[in-house]
Amino acid sequence: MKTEMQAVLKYLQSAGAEYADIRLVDTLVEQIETENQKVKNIANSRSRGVGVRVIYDGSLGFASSQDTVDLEKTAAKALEIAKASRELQKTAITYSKKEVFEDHYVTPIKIDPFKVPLEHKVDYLIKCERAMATSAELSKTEGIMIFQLQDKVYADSEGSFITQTLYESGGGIKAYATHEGDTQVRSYPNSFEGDFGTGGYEYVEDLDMLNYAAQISIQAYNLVRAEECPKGVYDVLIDSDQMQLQIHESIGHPLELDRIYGSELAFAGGSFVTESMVKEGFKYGSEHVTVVSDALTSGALGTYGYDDDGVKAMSVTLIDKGILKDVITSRDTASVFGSVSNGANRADGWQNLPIVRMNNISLLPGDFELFELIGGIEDGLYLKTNKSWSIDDMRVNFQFATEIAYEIKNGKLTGKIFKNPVYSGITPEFWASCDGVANKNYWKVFGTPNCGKGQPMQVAHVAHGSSPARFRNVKVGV
Amino acid sequence: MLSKNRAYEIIDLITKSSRFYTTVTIAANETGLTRYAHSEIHQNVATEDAEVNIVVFDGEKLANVSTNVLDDDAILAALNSAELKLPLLQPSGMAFEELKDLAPIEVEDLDLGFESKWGISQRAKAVKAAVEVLEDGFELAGAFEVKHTVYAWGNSHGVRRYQSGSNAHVEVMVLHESGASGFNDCVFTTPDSLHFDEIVKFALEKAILGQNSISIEPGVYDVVLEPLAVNDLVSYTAYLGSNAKYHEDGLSPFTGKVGKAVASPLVTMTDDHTNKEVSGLAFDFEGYERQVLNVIDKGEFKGIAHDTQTAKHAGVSTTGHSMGYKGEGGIPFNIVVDKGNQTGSDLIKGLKRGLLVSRFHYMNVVDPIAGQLTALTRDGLFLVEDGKIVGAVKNLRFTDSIERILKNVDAVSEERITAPSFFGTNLVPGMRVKDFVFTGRTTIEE
Repeated sequence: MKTEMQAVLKYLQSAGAEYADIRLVDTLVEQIETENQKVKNIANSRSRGVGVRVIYDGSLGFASSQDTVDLEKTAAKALEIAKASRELQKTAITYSKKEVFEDHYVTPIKIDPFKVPLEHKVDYLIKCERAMATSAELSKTEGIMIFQLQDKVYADSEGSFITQTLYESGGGIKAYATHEGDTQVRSYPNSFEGDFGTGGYEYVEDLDMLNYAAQISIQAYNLVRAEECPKGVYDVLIDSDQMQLQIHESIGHPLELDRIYGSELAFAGGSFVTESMVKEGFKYGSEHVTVVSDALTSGALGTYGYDDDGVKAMSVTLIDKGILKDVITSRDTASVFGSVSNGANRADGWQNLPIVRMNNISLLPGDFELFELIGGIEDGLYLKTNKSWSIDDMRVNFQFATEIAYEIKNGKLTGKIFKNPVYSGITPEFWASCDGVANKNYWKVFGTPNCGKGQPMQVAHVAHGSSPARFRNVKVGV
Repeated sequence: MLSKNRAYEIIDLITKSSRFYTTVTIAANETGLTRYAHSEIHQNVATEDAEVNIVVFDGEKLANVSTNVLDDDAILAALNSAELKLPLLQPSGMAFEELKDLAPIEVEDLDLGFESKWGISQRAKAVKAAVEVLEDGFELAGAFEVKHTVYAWGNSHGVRRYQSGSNAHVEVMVLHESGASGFNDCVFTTPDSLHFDEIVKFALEKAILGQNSISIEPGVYDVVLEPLAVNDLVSYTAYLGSNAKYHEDGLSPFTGKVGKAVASPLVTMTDDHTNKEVSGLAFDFEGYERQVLNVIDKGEFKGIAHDTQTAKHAGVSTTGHSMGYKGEGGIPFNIVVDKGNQTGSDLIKGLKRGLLVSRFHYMNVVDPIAGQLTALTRDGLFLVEDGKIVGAVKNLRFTDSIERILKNVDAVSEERITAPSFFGTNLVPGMRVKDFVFTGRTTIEE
């Protein structure tokens, strides 16, 4: 395939292209869903195709096709589109410099998830559901596992030729309890579809869902009978499983350089962050807030060898002790910014044009023990597990709901829980109110496999690490 | 583009080779999309794909495989892998009826005129022409997509369904250097109905009006929701309110409310794929013909959308709203809201003091049982006094329940637009709503 791809790149260069790259992507997915101790769905899918990106006279064209034989046809289409784009191109697209690589990257795995017998995976989910059902009276139980194997071949006109074999694994369980017309849910290890990472079946084994099944079942039973969460202004401790979405929405997205430059304005929106705020060191949060973009985090869902610009994965500090230092970039956006790409340009499959995407955006751990953070709260709440999210187009006003809130009084958890907690805030004010992050012993990474952006809509797999963190004077309730 | 003949060949190849009752769903598309920002094209893409989904049934066991590798060997390998999975599976607890002796459904609306009128070059020229007439200080952003789709469905008993179609989807945002913006978002089912300059004009007027915005306190306001704002609300109402699975699980705000008032008598919404202005799919992904489903009739909740499994649990027939064999209930996605008897201007004239909302951003469900939604306003929020727009207002967040909002509708506009919903398109008017609850502001400095 290398020869065919390089021949097409030569054809594009001979036709006048300043730059071109080709990506062949072949993706296998297995999804197993159970509900009420029965198999609900087992689906296997394969999607294979090729995407060609061309820069011609400073203008971009991209074409993709499931036809992986006649590469030249797709390449010619991409060239035609690039030429048409010149109709309305004021500024020539340029790419920042990068190293040329010939390399092969493979996700380190211990157990190939596609070789684990299907009946073993189904049995495990059913066992988890049975453990939930026998621990408390529930209205519904659910389990899910999803595995992905993606082979990528990348070649560009600058001489890079990179192959990657990327494995992803993960899953989750849910307990639903109904009482007097209300239904509440508790999820493990996280809400929506659970938790995912790059790795083999060992990632699912490490989630240890069976041992947590009874716990969330009892929590769901108690939660549906709990009082509504009080409204007011409270000090809150936010657990890692909610922090991951807080970081995602109010740090990850606003620091994507294409959003800062307005490329996503008409759809997902822009960012309150400006180029000058980055260069002048805007105070994004308190001294406790240090955030990295780290595509090297072991086992995290946003971990890879190379991005879809062929830039080697790396780690960069975005916010250092509250001060904005850097942003998330691709080669084209970095070029405008006057820097080099930090390797975060990624496409959803073969079909799509790479755009700036978060990889693993994480809040680094602090020095606190969890009891110290709780001990510093006179009257507050410990919030766990995302239930709902919404944030404005400039990433300023956010509102989150979580599955559960634990009452904190006089520096201690009282044992009382509340249902339907909601909190809201303004991004820089909220991060400035952070006065403590738990230490590395509490630090966890959660994978988010459903980050939507771009047109046509692309779904990215990203992750966020955090320890529980404390925030002062947060508006709780709507 | 995948032809009807080839689609049927693939279905025949699979069903004749299968040892079990088997269904085949094919989804194919060709898409060209031009994206622009800062008044220049920054992304211009074309893609084509066709995916085959095979479901093999053995009693309560079903194996589900998909592939977009469409040579005969690859298709048969996918079928084989599904058949090999069956002995490993546990019963799903779901029994599926084998569809037999049904007349084919064939809807062929593939309009290749879209390609000649709105191809790559024409899209670029249209955007350029719009940019050239913008005054200094204004910029254009958005996306212009032309899409051809083919859906085909068949089974071992020779039942066949096929539908092809085309549409164009145009999003336009006009931005002023002050930060004011206007937006328009339209779907067109015929190439000649698309007038790019008119779409831009609507957004431009909003951007002009949106300058010098002031900040106001969140609180309870009477509002006029323009059709794009209504569209988000209607999409969530249909999704949460009508899905049988949500009713079964007690997670719908309309659970137990069939026949009861959930909206103002002025509100009637129907899932109607036969309406030419939405051009929806005529069959569902279990092969059943989609029924026209009255969701809310003059304020009264009527319609629950079923797939075969939720229908069986409820002791009724499927309404043909399945998205597959996953037992997810039925999802309506071509909502047609009845028009009212007032013009859009009349709606505003009827506001003593209130807000005009152009659209929402990032609507999400806070509490499904309470039907509580939240979202931000975007691209034009205006203060109205004595029936006139008196100025622009900085964006606000609302958090309120579907039922409370719909019950407070006191007028509906005659004008309607076709706008994208979660999976299809809706036809929606504007609405005036009393006592709409705004819960937060969006600016940093405040």
